[in-house]
Amino acid sequence: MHEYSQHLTAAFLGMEEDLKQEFEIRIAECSTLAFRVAYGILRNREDAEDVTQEAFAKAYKSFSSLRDRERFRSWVVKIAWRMALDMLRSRKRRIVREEVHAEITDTSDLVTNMVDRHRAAEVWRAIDSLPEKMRIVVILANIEEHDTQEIASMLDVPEGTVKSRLFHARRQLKELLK
Amino acid sequence: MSEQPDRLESELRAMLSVDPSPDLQARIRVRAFSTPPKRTPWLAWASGLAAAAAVVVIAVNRGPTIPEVRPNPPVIAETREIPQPVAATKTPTRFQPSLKSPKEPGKVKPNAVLVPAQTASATLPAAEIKLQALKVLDVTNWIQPIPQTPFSIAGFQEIKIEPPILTVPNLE
Repeated sequence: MHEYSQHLTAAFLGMEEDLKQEFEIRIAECSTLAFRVAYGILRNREDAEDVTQEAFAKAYKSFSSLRDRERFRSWVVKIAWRMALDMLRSRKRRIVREEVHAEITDTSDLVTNMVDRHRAAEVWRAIDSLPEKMRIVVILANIEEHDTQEIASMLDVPEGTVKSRLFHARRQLKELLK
Repeated sequence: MSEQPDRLESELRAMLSVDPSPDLQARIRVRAFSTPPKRTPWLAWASGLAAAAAVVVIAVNRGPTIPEVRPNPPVIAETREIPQPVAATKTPTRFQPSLKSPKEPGKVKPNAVLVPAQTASATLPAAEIKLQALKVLDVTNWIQPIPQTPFSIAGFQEIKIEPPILTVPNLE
């Protein structure tokens, strides 16, 4: 009886250990993507990292009930996306937007950097003005060079919808940045 | 025309190619593994079945046990308390109509003990019945003073009215 209970406990612990190992692989695969998605919304490194941590913690809670483990990538991206939007809404007033090019080392690059920073701010403003559905498509298309099929798979929408949204988003950005 | 989207694409890629801190993955691990994952339903079922199996195994391994001999408790014939007869102030026949009252069926005083007339002699003691019978007859009222007539005529014998002698039937 005692041996039976020991065996049962060992089986449960082994299963939990397997689950942890599998999740660690998923962390290594998807953490950067989730961080960049969150960064695309928040544009603050610390906040994006906080969101990434919380998104993975939330994902791990229900990881054992996820039937299709191949869907984890899109699942965690969506969690990170939603959490980043929530954080943006709650902290909108006090978020200090991080500049893209942080360090200015040489005086000759000063003018170039100033122009780049100004341009980056304009681009971010244009992206912010896009509807949420278009914004995520634009961000995902420009992170790790995802194609429309991958984006459609991640967002659980048809590929045609992704293409359409991407087309309209680019046109809108072009008009805004004229 | 196509130059600007290309430029925009490259700018966006440059802006979004931000790498997280090197320790982010370690922090994610600490944060995620600090909260236990939810158990799947089949795991809960398996746990329940295992617990039930363990109980069965324990019960089988213990074998038959000699039941503890306990003295039998006294058999209680009647748990219901038998109401004590209440000293009836009226005749037992008084209760008879209330049992079959057509006007107020079922309306009985909570503390009243109804004794039907047929069973009254069986429950009331004989002395009590005698006393009640005397009360009904009210013999004392029968003894009246002898009237002293002022118009008594001499020579005539005075007549005394005697009360009737009553005999109480022996009910014992």
